[in-house]
Amino acid sequence: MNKEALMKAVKASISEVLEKMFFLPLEFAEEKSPAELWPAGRENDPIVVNLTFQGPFSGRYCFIIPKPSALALTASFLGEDRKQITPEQVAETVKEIINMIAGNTFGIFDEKAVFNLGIPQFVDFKKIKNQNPGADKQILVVVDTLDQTMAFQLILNA
Amino acid sequence: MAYNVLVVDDSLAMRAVIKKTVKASGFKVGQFFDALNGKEALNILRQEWLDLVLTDYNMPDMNGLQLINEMKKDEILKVIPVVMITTEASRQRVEEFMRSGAADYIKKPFTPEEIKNKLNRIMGEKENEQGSPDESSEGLDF
Repeated sequence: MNKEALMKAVKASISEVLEKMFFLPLEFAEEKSPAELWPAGRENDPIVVNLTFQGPFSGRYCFIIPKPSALALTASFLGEDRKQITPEQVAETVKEIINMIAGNTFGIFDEKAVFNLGIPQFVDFKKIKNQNPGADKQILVVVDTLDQTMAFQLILNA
Repeated sequence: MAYNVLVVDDSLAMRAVIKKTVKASGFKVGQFFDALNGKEALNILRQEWLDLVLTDYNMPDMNGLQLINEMKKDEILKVIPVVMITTEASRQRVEEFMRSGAADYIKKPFTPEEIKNKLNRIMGEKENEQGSPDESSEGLDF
């Protein structure tokens, strides 16, 4: 598996999904771990959603987003006012984002390969905050948009 | 002509976005119907007059492919075009959709233009297959 090509596919997928469906201008930022990005206490912990995948290589895709950014993205996605957005809508939207980005990533990386995607599931930030699978086992992409930072972490199984 | 469209997706947010995007595309919709999965879709299809089904692939209870397979077994439902709206972009999966009888597929993420082009083509083709009302009345002597 060519990790550089996979990194390119991850970035292309993030750009395509966020720009096409959320109309978000974005920039890829310096790579930092989730613990460095969100060191604050529980009240500021971001939302984390995990999606497992199986195919020519397997692992999980993780989307980490602060709550205000998730609310803004949901409002943009649904075309509704932020004040009218419910927690359920936010939950469904962040799950849909990781689903679209994961499916699109593997399509860009290798359109001949079949990857089976799991069902997105929420995880406590504390459980993933200090995970360090090692540089050779993960792809970490940090995105700056709307004065907020979000991260995508693709962790490969051993 | 405006079409009655059934949107099948287990995500309420995604159903709302699909409907919003179809409306924004300018594709003419009479009425939207919603279903959470293939089973619910079949129930609605047997009760309402629908022209087009837009369905997700990955859903609990009955996925998009199973929905198409069930529709193909039904003399009335088999003529309704089904479009897969999916993140599943591998060539093998797309071939599987088309072999099963999907009219086409739309890859997420999508734009209103992509939706409009595909739906107009599909519904245009369907009208051509069945013949327009003017064409079908040709030769009839009133």
